Amino acid sequence: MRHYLANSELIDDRSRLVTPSSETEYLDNLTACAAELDAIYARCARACPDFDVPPADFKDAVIRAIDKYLVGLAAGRKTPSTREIRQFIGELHDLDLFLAVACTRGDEHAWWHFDRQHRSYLERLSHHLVRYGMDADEVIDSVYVALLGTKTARDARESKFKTYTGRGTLRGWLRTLVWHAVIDLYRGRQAEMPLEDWSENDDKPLESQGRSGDVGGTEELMLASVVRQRYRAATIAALDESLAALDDHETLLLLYYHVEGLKLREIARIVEQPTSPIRRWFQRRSKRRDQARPNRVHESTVMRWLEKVYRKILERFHTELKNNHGLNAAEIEICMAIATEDLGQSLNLSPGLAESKNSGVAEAEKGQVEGALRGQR
Amino acid sequence: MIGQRLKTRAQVGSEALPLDVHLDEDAIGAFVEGRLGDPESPSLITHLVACGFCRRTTAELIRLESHIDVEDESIGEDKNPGRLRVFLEHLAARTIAPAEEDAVFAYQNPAEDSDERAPQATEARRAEPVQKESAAESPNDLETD
Repeated sequence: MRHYLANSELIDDRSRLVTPSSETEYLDNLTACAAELDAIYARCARACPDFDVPPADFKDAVIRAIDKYLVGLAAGRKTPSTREIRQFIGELHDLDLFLAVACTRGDEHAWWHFDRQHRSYLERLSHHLVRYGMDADEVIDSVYVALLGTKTARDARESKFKTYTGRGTLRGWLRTLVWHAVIDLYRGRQAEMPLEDWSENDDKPLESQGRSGDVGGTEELMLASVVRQRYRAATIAALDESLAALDDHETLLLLYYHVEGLKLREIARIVEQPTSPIRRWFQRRSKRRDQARPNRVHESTVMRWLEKVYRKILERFHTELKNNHGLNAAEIEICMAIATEDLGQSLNLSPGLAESKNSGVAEAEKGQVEGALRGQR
Repeated sequence: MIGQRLKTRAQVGSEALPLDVHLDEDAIGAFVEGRLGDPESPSLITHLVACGFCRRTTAELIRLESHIDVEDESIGEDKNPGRLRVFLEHLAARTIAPAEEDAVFAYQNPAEDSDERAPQATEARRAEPVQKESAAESPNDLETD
């Protein structure tokens, strides 16, 4: 079991650059941004004069953020340039970071400010996520305990605030913190349950519940003959090859839609920011058209991206079946039918679509996807 | 079949990852808000493709964001009449002498009050238990990882 609020061994907790020369270059580039650092500190200190935050503490926090994102997560890339560091500093949610640093230091004014500004949001979020009021209180308590810090490393209180970097908003960070606290709470409850109370379904992955039974039954009827089994095997192999050939951005888009059941408008939400990596990845590939495109990403844009991915899969699928499996055009058609026949069913049963309160939107969305797939064929 | 193959592949990918390697709240929060730049996003996206747990967390947070925004709007509409009503009830209790009709008036008042409110606020309140229930089930779903 993993407790997120307590554990800090995470993927992006990495060391600095590997070679001494790149380390020196990095430090030089950081030093070149000293004026920007001073400027944002001065701005924050003016905005929150009551908070006790020494310049060194704030600058340390900013450098930790740069280390984490431009060096740690960008591992393998060249040393971050002065321009990249400047841009990064400019994009930070500096006032949120200033508040977090002040709270890490145990500043009373900062804590009052935090409580006044975020407590009601934390409460609303917790009550939204858990069924019972007492559980919600437990979640809020565990979040506050983590924020205050209970562990002592070298006699120092270690606050969760220290892990906030200002890359996203403080509210977004708190939302994730609450979510992980809820998971910890539920996992704790399940660990306490006697073995006989565990339902068999609980051990199965979410995706295997509800859908695969129906689909499997239909498939069995349809693929009864040995010949069909052969085509089915070829279809699966070619499809796997086609999916493996996709870029990670494309795969993530498909996973959000098909596996996690996100609706098109929900996916559009992640890519709403012009800086969103998925959005920029897709837009780079259609630059000319995007020049005249407004900032807002609509469901139709996400649909277009999905269509592009389907087209790419289909092209690769054809090539694989023809070249690696030696199938002719008629046989490829059979495989194509096998590959797409249960897609309509899976869309009907998609949790995202089933949950939708606005059935009109869900129907339109389903129609769009099905239409796109028919079009591809 | 595309959906099925994606699920199968995602499951295999998740199993291949070490159990204790996950993105922290800071990186997940920044990703969900679309704040990550070109240098840092590729490794994070690769992780999200492979790690079902982190991917599901991001997906749930996206859903949560839209629910909470909707609730915020309905709370905003609800708050003031509620406080005003409490104030008026206090005032009425102090100034009006008790009489038999009061019982009838107190009984009928909530219905009248709810009819007067904005239809969206009423709808949001009706929808609230459903939202709570579905959201409460989600963390259990994450146990699959």
